[in-house]
Amino acid sequence: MVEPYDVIVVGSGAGGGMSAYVLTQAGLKVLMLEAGRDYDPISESAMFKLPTEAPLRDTPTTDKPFGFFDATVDGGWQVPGEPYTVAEGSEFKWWRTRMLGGRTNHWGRVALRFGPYDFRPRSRDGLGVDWPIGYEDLAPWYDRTERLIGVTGASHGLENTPDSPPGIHLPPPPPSPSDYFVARGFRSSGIPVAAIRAAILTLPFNGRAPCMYATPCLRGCSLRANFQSTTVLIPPSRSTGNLTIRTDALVYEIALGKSGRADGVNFVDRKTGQHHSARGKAVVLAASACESARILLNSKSGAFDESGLVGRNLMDSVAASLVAQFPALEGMPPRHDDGLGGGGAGHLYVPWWGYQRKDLDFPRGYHIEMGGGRHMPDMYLLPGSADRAEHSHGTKLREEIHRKYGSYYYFGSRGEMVPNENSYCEIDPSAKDKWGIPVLRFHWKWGDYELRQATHVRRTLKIIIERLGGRVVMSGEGDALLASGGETIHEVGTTRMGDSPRNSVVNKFGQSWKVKNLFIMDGSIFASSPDKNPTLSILALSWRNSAYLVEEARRGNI
Amino acid sequence: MSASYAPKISRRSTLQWVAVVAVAATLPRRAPAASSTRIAFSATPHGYGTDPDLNQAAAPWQRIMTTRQLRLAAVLSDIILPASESAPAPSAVGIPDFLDEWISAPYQQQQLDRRAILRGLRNIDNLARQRWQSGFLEIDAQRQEALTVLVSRADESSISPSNQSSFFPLFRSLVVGAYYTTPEGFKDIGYVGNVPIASYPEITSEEHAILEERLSKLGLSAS
Repeated sequence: MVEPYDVIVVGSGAGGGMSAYVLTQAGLKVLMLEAGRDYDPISESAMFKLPTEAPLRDTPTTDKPFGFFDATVDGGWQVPGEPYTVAEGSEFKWWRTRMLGGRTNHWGRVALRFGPYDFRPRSRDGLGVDWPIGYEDLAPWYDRTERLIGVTGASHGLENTPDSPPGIHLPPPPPSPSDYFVARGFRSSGIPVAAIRAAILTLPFNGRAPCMYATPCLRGCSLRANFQSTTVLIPPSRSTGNLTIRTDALVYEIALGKSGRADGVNFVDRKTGQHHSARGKAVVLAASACESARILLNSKSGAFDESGLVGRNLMDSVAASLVAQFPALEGMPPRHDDGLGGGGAGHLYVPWWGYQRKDLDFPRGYHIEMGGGRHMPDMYLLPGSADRAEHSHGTKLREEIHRKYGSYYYFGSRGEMVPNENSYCEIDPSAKDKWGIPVLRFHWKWGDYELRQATHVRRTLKIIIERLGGRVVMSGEGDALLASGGETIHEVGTTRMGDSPRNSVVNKFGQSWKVKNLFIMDGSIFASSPDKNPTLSILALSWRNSAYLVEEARRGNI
Repeated sequence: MSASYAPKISRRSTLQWVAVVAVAATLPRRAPAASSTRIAFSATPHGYGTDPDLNQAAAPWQRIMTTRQLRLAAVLSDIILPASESAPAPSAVGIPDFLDEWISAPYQQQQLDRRAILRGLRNIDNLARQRWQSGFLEIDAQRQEALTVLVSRADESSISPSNQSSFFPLFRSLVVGAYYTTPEGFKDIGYVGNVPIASYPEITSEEHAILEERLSKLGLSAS
């Protein structure tokens, strides 16, 4: 392949993987640059391995923060040799991977559509900004995305929680006994409970096998039963013959041509340390919300953006979680209970129910993800120091452990954050990575809205838990009210889309206002951070915007 | 018998290792998120690294427990979870060796646990000597259990929700976690997953009846 490529795609995760899929299917020649190493879930996933087959029984460490068998390569909260900094007084954690497929190899597979209200937040409550598109603009692309990747669900008809059109969602798995029990607590309080929407197959689908209800998704799936870019998007893109992939290629700069267009990108080979350039007629940036902002800021950013908003409006989901123990779930009959995705995640969730409530002291809302049951024991079989065993030792302790096994249940909120001026990333004035590339410095402060929302989550969950006769045994956030910024790994907003170059970085197709052949296809273009987890919307936006890029290329406008 | 527990690896020279781990041993249990300027990171020295071969898993660090410490751990483990008719004692499934792997690990959490565990083992041995002029391994099983209860009560009453580094609750939690993550532990507790199934089974009529009866007692009947 002779340069220039038709399109250079930076990143191979949800945004980059989908963009490459759409572009290569349309016949465009694409070079995909991935900062991490090549990765093959078919041969590398540690499926069915036992805790005794891992150091420390697969317990998280700083080298593997989600455990030894987690799919994440060379990453996590820190990547060796590639630091970031956090401003004094801020707390922020940045999850990265260095592998083909990026963070799609590591996610919860919860795939929720944004609803109509989610695109109009300012119109509804005067805060933040509206999106330049509405639900009706994205809905057909959600349909296509779900038809491609496979998403479970059921039609519930709930406010601002769109069902898929008939025939699109896969049947959800039945609730587990503990899901069934917990659901009664919510429903008896007037709070709806819905079938989980997960990017995990429950039927054979597009040549892929369904879930085996065992072995956690986070390890990767060699059956391709869940959505990973590496199993669902990249293989068909490759088979077009139009995709070239270069791994270990850390892009740090957009190369700007004399005409004000992007000529391509500059990158460093992480194995050799050599600097290279790649030339393309268009560039798709999908390196993740913060890495894409870093690349723009390390380029001649003024040339790309008049708004000054690159790196600004950084948002993450608001998360607060509790683990409870329920005497009523003790001593249930043994059952195979690993569940959909194999990791003990519940088959139900609680969509936000408060859209019409006038008594809340925070805007927007949250949903609750949850799960429990008789899943594979880990080192934290007796969770929480507050749950000291009733028996110190001996046969009675053994009996107590048997009785309580399966009676613990996790509840975690994912809520919408309102963008604020104290939460952003910028280039650190002095710190550099091992190749001398300036790194990001994060500034972070939750607003009062988020603190009040987290308080509401905890108060609500305690009421439900007590109604079910349970008691809280631990908080997922320790002594904190809510998780740190970045900790929920839902960063969005740093190159937001809008209807004017004065108030946004890209237009409604993710296209740079100023550099017409530069498109951004990851979560950075989100104008707000709806409670619904971002991956499905990144995929749908990337498909829509890549289809626009194809049309523009055909018209000769790129 | 667990008092003569035979470690599954040979003893090792620890001095060099102690020098490495002592640096980080005073770090807090839950590391705060970065709160100031610079975060530098490289893979933990002597750890398994950030891209280990998942199919060739082995803890690369040297283990530090002495034979006596392993035997103390074995006796205590077996008092905490004595063998039942159908399930082995912890020492029979290598739990003391796992505790050695755990507290020898170079990671922050394990290094904190190491201090608490080794101090606790030393303490219980010393308590036995003070009372009965014999070490914990040398006193009879009745006294071993009585002393374990004493230590557990003292430690349980001293812990606060945010500080679990007190010896006994930590030791017990490690023993229980380690034991129930073995195939023998799975069998004992009734974990029957981690095998492929074609579909997730619907709630059975037996489960349904149990749940409805219990929900009814909570005033949460279906109707």
